[in-house]
Formats: sequence, structure tokens, C-alpha cells
Amino acid sequence: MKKEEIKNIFRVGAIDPISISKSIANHQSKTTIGAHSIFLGQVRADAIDGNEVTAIEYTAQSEMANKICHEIKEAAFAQYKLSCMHIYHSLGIVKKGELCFFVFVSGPHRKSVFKALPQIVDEIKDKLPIFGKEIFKDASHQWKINQ
Amino acid sequence: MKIKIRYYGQLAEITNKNEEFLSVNINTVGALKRLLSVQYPELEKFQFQFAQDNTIVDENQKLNGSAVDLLPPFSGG
Repeated sequence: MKKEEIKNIFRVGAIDPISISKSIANHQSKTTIGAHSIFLGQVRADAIDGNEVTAIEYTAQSEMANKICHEIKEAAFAQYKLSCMHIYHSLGIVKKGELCFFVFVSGPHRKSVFKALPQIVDEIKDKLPIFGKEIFKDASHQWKINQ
Repeated sequence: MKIKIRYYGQLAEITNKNEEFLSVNINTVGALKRLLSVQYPELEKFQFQFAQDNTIVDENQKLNGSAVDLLPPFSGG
């Protein structure tokens, strides 16, 4: 696998499902790939004391997040037999039901992509300086805590 | 030394700013932490980490003039 440059994983607003299907379609020319695995994070309308989350506003130390994400990708390429990997995360407001996180891993066979995907998703959630502010129906907010 | 301090997430709310420049006469991240906890006593209630040059650093880290980031717990995804 060739060394890749550090990419910007951030997109302003929700991730459009159409861009995901386009991303899948873009791989039809890469015929050494035999398996894809995809994780999609969606904003959940959590109810807390009768107050419902209507959106999450994401901010980040983007430069640091992109650097660490690059390291996570490089480590996954070194550990598993993978062909390519695409990662996007939202910044700014993402409404309930919309997508905020997209991880797309491809490889020659299913076993490597099945193993790599959860590891990459977990590491991104643990290590990237991204901060989610949960905004409620009544315009109050709380800071998201990852489980 | 003049350093830029950047506040993220809930810490930007606590300090009511995203960033500021401080002229300081200190050398370490730990000394900066003590200085900031005097300026913003509420910070003591929160868990956070420091980063310098896009790397998490501990309190023994020397300040090198680069921006210092105050990062609350991460909650991406």
C-alpha cells in the first residue's frame, strides 16, 4: 500500500446518503476488491427527562484529528490486508436521523475488512479531538459523552 | 513568552472564548494549567487534556511557543 497524504476527514453538515452510494460506485473499477464494510453513525433523538435531542453540533481540533486519523489508517493498513479506506466526519449541525460519521473499508476478502472496521471506528471515537454538543428541542444543550 | 491558548467544546463555554493570547513567564504545561485555573476557577471541575503541536502532552511538557489546546473528553461519532 502506498503512503497516503493526510486527508481532511471533515465535511460541514450531515453526510449525504447519495455521496455514500457514489463512493461505493467509485469502487467498481477497482477489481482487486472483493469485500466492502461500512459503518454509518446517525444522530439519535435521545430523550432526557422528556426533552429530546434534535441535533448535534460538532466541533473539532481538525488538524490534530486529521493527523491522528491518518495514523489510525496507516496502522490498519499495516495490520490488515486492505485495499482502501474512506473516512468522513461531520462538523457543525447534524439533525436527528441524519448521518454524521462514515467509515468505508475495502479489501480483497471479507475477513480482513470485518476485523478492521470496528477497530478503526472505535479508535476514531476514542482518539480524535471531536466534540459533540447535543441540542434539545427547547434550545438547551448538553455535551455528548461517548459510551 | 506569548502563547496562543485554544479552548474546545465545553471549555470554550466555560472560558467564553475559543482562543486567546497570553504573555506568560512560565515553562511547562503544568505551570500553564495552574495559571489558567486561577484565571478560570471553574476549569477545576472539568476533565481535560492539553495538546501542543497536535499531540497530547502531559504536565511536564515544556512550552515551546506553539499554540496550546485545552481538550475536553472526546465525543466524535
